[in-house]
Amino acid sequence: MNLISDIIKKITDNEIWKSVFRHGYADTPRNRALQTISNVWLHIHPVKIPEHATKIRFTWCLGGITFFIFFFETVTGILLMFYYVPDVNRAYADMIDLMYAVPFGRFLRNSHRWAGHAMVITVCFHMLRVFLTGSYKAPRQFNWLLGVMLLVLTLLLSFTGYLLPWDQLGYWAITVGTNMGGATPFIGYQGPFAELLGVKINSDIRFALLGGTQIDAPALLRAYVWHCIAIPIIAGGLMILHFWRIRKDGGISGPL
Amino acid sequence: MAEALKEKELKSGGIYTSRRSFFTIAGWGIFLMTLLAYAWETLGPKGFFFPKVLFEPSPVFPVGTPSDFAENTVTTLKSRKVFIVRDGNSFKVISVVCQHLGCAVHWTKEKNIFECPCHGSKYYRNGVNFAGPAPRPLYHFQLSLSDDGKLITDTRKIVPIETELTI
Repeated sequence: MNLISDIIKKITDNEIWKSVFRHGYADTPRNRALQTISNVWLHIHPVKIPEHATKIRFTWCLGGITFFIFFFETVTGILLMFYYVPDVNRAYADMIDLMYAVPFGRFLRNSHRWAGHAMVITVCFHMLRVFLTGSYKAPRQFNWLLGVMLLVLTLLLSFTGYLLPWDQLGYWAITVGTNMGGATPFIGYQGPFAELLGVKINSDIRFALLGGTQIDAPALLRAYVWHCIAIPIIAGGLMILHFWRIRKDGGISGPL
Repeated sequence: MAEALKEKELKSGGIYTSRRSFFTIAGWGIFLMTLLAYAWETLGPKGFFFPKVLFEPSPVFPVGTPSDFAENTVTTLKSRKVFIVRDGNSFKVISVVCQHLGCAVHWTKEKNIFECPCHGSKYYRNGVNFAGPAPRPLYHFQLSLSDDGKLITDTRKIVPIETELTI
């Protein structure tokens, strides 16, 4: 290994290099801390890490895995948007094109779909871990609340994505799902107490979700906009809060 | 100056608000009212998410003439999501939408029943549920005979299941 250090020495130990870079990097605890604090990419990372945080078998990194999947879904989702048009005459054909004609389209769509399923699973496991380790207790109550909101948003992402292939499976799943919405008390036209507010088939929550009284073009477009734009933005904002609160609530939770 | 004015106003039983707090309150008030107005316009019951014009098939439509349907048959009008049931000279229009969670039930001729593929609800020929999770009979829609001899159904009007149109 002397060879490499000799080469590095040759490159860096001369007047030209020193005139450009002025000085080297001194590997001191202070410099390490400064690296984290002053770097936009690293600043989300804590400067000091407690020893228990390195023991993976307390948190299993389930929140981190979920965030990684969300990021992965964002990237693959954007790529799918290059080929997919949310129009009732095209949607199914575009999906089939992605599966059979687009280079690596099948791989991409399957990745997106499987990662979507995985995200629901990891979110649930994350919640289970937080519950079993009591990590929802003071001062982390509000972060639990944020987590519940993120769980709901994850399920909504999964639900809205279901309709987009415009196939039989998605169509009837959304039929069933939005009819459940139609049975919501007060705000669903088939739910209890709907008469009290005068909610009808064309003024209830199901109507607002579908943009009509039946699943048609407006419903597909709405599912698309919610799935690709609105819910990811809302979820992203809540994630920023969620991660920030981990630090503010005393760092990553560990054994007592 | 301001203090003296405040004292004077309060002594005479009036109210005093400094210019600064007046503009603070007014500014926040206008901001919040604007925000509320936007929220109402988008999410309110008559707002952006509730379209007034729907590009959907009309809920009132002709299903055909009485002679289009053979006696004692159940005809499925898939595009309109209704069954036309003819028994003798009596006609009924029954919705295909399952009363459990809204899937399309289908007519099974051999068993003489309607069956839902999603969760296994079953209905008799008259639309009454007898198996599966369905909580109530299928909807029966109002049926009438137009002047030019067509059967017209109005899917906005749900009629009791005994209702028949006899011609």
